[in-house]
Amino acid sequence: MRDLVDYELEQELAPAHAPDELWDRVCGGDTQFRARRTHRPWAATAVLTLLTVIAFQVTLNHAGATGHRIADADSCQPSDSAALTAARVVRANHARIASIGFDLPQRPAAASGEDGCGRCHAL
Amino acid sequence: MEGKVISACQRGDREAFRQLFETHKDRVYSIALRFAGNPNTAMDIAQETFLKLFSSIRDFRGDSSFDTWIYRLVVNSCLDHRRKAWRLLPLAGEFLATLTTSGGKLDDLLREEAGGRLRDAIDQLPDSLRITVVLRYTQGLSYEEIAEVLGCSPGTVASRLNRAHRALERTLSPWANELRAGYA
Repeated sequence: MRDLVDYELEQELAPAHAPDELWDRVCGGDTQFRARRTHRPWAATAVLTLLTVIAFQVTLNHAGATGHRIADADSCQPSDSAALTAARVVRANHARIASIGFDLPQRPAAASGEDGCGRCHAL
Repeated sequence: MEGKVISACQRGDREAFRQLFETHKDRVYSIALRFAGNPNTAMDIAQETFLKLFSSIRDFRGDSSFDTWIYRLVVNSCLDHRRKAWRLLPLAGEFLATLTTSGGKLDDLLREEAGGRLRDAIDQLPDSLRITVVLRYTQGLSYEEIAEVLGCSPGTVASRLNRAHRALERTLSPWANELRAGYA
C-alpha cells in the first residue's frame, strides 16, 4: 500500500511547465504595483488641492456676499478683490502637499482712525 | 554563473531578472500548482512569488543557497494564499471539473478517478503536511533540504511525511484493489 501511495504521489505531483503568460503576469503585476504606489498619493493630493481651491473660492464669495473683505497685510482696510493665481501639488520632505497662491492688491496703510477700522488705527 | 545573475538582479538589471525567471519558473509554478491543485490559483501564487523575489532580491545575502531562499518564498506564498482563500472556491472548481470531464476508456476513467481521489486526499491534508509532501514529490528534495526550507528538523519532516502517508493510505484504501488491478 505504501509503494502504491508513493507511486500515485509521484504521478499526481509530477513537476509541471509554467505557462508562457506567467512572465507577462509578473511584469504586468509589477507595473500595476508601481503604479499604485506612485500614483495614488498624487491622486489623493490632487483631490485635496481641488477641495482647497473650492473652499477658498467659497470663502471669498461668502466674504463678498456678507460685506466682509479680506484685509491686506499693511492695512486693515478691505481689499477690493483677491485673485487666485496658482494651485498645485508640491513635494516637501517626502510629503506631498497642496499649495495655492493668491494676489491681494496692495494699498497704502490708513493713517487715521477715520479711515481705519476703529480698532487698530483709532488708538 | 547564477551568482553573477543574482548580482545583476540586485543592481536592477531587467535582463537578469528575465534570466532568473526562466531558470526558476517551472519549479515555482510546479510547487504552486501541486499545492493549490488549480492552475489559476497556481498562476496567482507564482506571480506573487516572483514579485516578492524581484522586490526583495537585494536582501539576499547568500546565508543560505538561492534555491532554498526561492523555495521559502514560494512556500510562504502558498501558505499565505491558502490563509486568504475563500474556502468555497475549490469546491466550485471541483464541481466544474466534474462537469467538463470527458468520456474515455474504462482504464483511463479509473486512472483519472484514482488521481482525483488522491488529489482530494492531498487537499484534505493540513497545510504543513501538504507542503512537505509537495516539496518531497514535486521537487524531490531530501529531508534535510525540506527541513532547511521549512525551518524545522529533518525528524519533523520525516514525521510529517509519515503522517501524510498514513492519511493518504486511509483515504485510498477503498480504491487500492482497483488501482492494483489497473497496474497489473
